[in-house]
Amino acid sequence: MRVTQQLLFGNFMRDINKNRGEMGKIQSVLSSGKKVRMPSHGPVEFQRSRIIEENIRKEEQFQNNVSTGLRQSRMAQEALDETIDRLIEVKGKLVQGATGTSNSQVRETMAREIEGIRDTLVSTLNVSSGDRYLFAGTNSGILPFELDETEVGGVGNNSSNTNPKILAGDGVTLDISINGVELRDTGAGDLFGIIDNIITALDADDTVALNQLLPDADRAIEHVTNQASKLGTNINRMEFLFEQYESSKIAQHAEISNMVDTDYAQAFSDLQRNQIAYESAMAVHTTMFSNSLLDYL
Amino acid sequence: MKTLFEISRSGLRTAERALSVTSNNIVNADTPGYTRQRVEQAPIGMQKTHFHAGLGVNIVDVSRLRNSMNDVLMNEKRQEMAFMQEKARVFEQLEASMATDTGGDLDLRISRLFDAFSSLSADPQDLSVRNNLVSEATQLTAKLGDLNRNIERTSELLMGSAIKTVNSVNTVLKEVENLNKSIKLAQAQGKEDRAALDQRVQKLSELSKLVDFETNITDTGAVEIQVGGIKVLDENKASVLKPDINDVDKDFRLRLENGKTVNVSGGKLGAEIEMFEKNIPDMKSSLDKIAEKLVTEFNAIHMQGYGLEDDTARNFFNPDYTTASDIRVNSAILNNHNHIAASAEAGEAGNGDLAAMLADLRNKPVLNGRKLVDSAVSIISTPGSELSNLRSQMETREAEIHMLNIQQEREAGVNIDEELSQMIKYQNAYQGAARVMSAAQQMYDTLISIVR
Repeated sequence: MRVTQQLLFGNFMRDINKNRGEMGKIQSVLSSGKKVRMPSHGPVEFQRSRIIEENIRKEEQFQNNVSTGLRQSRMAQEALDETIDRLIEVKGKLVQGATGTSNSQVRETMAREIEGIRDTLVSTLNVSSGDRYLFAGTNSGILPFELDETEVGGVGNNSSNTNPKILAGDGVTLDISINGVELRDTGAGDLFGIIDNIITALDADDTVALNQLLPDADRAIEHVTNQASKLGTNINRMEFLFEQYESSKIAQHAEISNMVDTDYAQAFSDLQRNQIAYESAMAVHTTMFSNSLLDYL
Repeated sequence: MKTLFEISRSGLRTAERALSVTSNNIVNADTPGYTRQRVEQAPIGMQKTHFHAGLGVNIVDVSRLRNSMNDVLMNEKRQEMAFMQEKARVFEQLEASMATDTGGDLDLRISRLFDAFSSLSADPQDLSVRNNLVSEATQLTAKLGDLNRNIERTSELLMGSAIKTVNSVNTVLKEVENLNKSIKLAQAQGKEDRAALDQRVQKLSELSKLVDFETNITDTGAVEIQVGGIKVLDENKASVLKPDINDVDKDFRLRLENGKTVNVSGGKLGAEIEMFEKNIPDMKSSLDKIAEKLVTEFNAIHMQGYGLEDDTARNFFNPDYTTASDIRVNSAILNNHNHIAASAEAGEAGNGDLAAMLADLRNKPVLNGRKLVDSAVSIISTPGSELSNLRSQMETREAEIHMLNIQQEREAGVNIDEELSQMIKYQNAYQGAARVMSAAQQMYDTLISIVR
């Protein structure tokens, strides 16, 4: 077989170029920390990692929604706790007024005190987060409760009958508050209606009526407590979802990392192997090409 | 006695010519397309009564050692290689403009818009959420516009490059025409124009990188070239190819002077035409499809909802613009972010049901059975997948070319060491013949001195 100089040189150049190309690849893999950066580095890995990234973004957004929801739910829950405390106070006064030992003057003072509590309750339940009134249902742009003599219980209602929700997952919505309509409907009549009845009975010095109102007051407290615990369940659910998304995020990041990140051990051993090949090619080249018949002529 | 002079003269002449062939080989060792030449010697003799008298040496032929089958095969492979190289080059450009390694690609932009709607569903009254949503939507439309412009720019550049390639093809054809002439002339005189033959091999290999063709050697020694079954170079004359381009319909044709269409399917030119006519318009249309789906799907849902200020049903994207180049957000929404519909019920500011429906669109397989973001990922990866495919094919093709190259080089390549040893051989032969001559001279001198 004839082996010409051009052939040797061509082979050498081809090997060197191949080597350098591979070196370049290893270098970029090592310095960027990623083995798949562009679609051409691994079309399948690239596409799969991008689709998982989309899923991570979606879940991160759900997490954001859940935190927004949690913030508002906690505020609503605080307001409900406050409401329960106030209602217990009202009930205390009611029990005191219902006994025969109190006189009419005392009862009138109580009536005024309960009126004060009612006003506080209204402002407590008008709590807002940003622009959003938490107990206004989906009508959250409008103040839900307003003192108005002409309305039931002396308090007007602007709330809608639907609860505000957040999107907490694909097809998963969670109520983040209780709407005003639901809150006021105690099963024993309107919440503010019951308070108003108590005030009227106290003003009228009517111990019989006051005694009859005692179970209503209990029902009112029970109702609000029920609502608060319903909200508490949702808060727990949101906290759980948040944690779930957090752990799923870690798992998905790990999956992406497996697909696109550099395997350093592999890359370094490749580099070493390549370096040896490259250096040998250089050394062989210099010796090979100095061997010529020309030197002996 | 006189024959001694004749014999040594033939030896001197033969050695000299052989030496010149060898030195020509040496200096052309690196000339592309050069074919190694060998001197074929034969003895001269004469049949006399009872014995055969040797009368010296003669050069009967200087042979050109080349495997022409190999050349044909090699040109086919070169043509395929150039086709793939050109496609890879364009796909590389496209990949760089469609996908980045820093993120911020089309898939992210679409996904961010869905995020913004998801956020809006949780906080439908928050103005900052609405502002962010509009900014995400405009970034998405801007991204689509950018991608579209990049693709169009690539298409323009490609057209220019294809026209240049056609010119190069015409130049090479013209050069082969001239080489044909000198080869024919030499052959008519019973000779072989080796330099022209070698140059023609080189020109044909150049041509094979530009376009796919078939060759036929005629009896006169000229080469005829056909492209796509149409003769573009006959024995006497090369035709001129003229590009005939319709940029609107993305149609690139080549015509001869007589109006015949030449179909090119290989080489650099074939790749350029295929990219220009098919691959690039395909990418553009898939981008347009995404834009159109975005407009129709978002608008269909958005029209059912209500903004914060009034009960007017509005489109989210302007329905009059449905391509990637001109997609835009409805100007009413750009001017007043409160018009983004988040609520499914009129007048309910805290209702985010519609925004939730829009956010849920990201899970719907609306485009050929795939989700919008998945389709976007597949679009931005298309050039990369093609590129990675081509690269692995090119590697195999390169190895094949290398193999053929080795085969041809074995036959036609110049080994300098070999030539140097030949040189020594012919030098010795020359010295030997010269010695014979001086011996004959001395013999004559001896004879003459006797007479004196």
